[in-house]
Amino acid sequence: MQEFIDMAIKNIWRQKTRSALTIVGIMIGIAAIVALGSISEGLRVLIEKNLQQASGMITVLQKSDGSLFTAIARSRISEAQLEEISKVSGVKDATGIIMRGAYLEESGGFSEPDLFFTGIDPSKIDMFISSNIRYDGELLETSDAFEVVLGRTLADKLGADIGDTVTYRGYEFQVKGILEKTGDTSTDKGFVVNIQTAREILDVEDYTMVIVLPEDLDEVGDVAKAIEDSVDDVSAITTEQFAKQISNIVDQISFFTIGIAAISAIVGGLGVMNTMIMSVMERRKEIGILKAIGATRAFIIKQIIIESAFLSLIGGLLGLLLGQIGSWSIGYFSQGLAFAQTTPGLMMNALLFSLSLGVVGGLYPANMASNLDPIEALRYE
Amino acid sequence: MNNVIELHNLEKIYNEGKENELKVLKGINLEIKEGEYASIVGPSGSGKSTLMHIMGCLDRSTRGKVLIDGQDVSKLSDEQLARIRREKIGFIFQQFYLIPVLTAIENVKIPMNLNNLKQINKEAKARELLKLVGLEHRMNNFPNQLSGGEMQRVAIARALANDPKIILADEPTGNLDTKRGEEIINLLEKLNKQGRTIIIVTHDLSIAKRAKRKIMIKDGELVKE
Repeated sequence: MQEFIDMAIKNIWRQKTRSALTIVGIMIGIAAIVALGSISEGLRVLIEKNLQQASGMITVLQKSDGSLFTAIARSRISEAQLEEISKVSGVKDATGIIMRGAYLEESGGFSEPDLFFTGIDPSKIDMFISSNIRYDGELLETSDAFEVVLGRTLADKLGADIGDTVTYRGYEFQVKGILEKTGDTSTDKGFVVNIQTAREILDVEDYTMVIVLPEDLDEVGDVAKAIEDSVDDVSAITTEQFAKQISNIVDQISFFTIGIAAISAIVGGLGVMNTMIMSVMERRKEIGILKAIGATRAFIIKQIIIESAFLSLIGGLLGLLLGQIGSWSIGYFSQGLAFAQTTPGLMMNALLFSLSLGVVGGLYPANMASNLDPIEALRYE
Repeated sequence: MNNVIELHNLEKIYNEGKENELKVLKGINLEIKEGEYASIVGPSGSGKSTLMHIMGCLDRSTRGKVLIDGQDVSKLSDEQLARIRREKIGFIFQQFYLIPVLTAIENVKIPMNLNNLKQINKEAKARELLKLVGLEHRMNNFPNQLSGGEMQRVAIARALANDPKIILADEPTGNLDTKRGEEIINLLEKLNKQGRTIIIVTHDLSIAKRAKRKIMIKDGELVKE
């Protein structure tokens, strides 16, 4: 085996530029897989974290055919519906929330909102801000009107501290509390005020959603179903379902992005194949000599495939490194918007993928080399 | 002594039955005994290269029987022929045919690597063979750092690596000046004295004459000995 590897290295080294370019081809593909894959992995980790924080709650939205995100944006729940929800058996407590996404600057458009203007009944604030979330300052009280609790990301963006004054739609609010970073966007970008204030400012009566605390946490699913059965025109989503929906979206995103990255790696694999075909053509005489002095087809095939796999594996290792740097930069430059994480599984798969590209790409040139007729090959000048 | 090569009614015909049919070998009968020193001589186009290729199991005959060390090789698969080549035959070519990326000693080790016998100390054996051909001081040089004569001596050491019964040399002095050619022939004769079967294929009569047995081929037939 050692001789095969020695020989492979020597042959790769012979055409330095060509080998280097081939390696770069694989490297870029693998780096893309690692970098893009790390974003989906990061998203998954984030969801799991949120799930732990919010588990047990049921979110009730207006029934909608669209996706989860458009459903939240369009949802309206009336006071009467809230009453009905509260009376469903198994419901311990229910509170309505008003939530509006907003942009700090006009440029907004289709990106994620900078701010989630959230109105909540201060006496039931613990249903929205769970007790395990730490905060600076204080949470809202029923008597508060123009006091606000900010999420960490938003507070940092506004440069606001406890006691400072921040403005929303021309109204001034005094910062009463700042929540620690949770990883959940609507909390981290939350602008949480008394629901009465929110109603007045936005001039709405209806809630955006209702948060329900079931009596028995183990029966979350049953309670959610009971709500949907007894109240018209609502969907009740448990955090598990919520997470499942998001995780489906994440799956689709990662399938798509990693798919594109994989295509670029496959193109790199074609580069390996091309390089190996050229290399076999140039070395046909040497291969002829080896066959003349008794090398079997299997020996030649093994030699060429090891060479091809080695070339691709170097590209894979360098790609891993570049992808790791890429993943780190994405996390750094997106300032927390995308959270990238490379897992050992992802790295292992990327490396195995590069190896298999090399092996598969080497099959055709190896077969070509092994079928060379030694007499023909030696005659060729 | 045993016959290491036996050819019975050997024929080689290219494009048989077609308009451009070409009979290269026309019924050759030949026996070569173990330890013989023979030359096969003939003008170009006489079929001597084809004959050598068939004796060396690089090519197959169209008709007739080929026995190498008593074994009929006519019906063997390509893989079995490769095995015969690496175990029983040592090739020496006019253009030396060393692998350029490997040093002298690495080139000598190739046949041993192909055979992959665990009990052989490949390094020690390769050194010993290079010493035998007088190149112990050039072991770690690459082919392009060696003279023609030196390259051919490395090729001879490589041919001896698996202790073959037969050494087949195809115009071994063709690319060398007279003096270096002389040295190579002397080396082959020395190997013959040690008991190895040497067959030299050449069109150079002065080299052919030195062999104990001279086989003449013309138009695909053996003329006389």
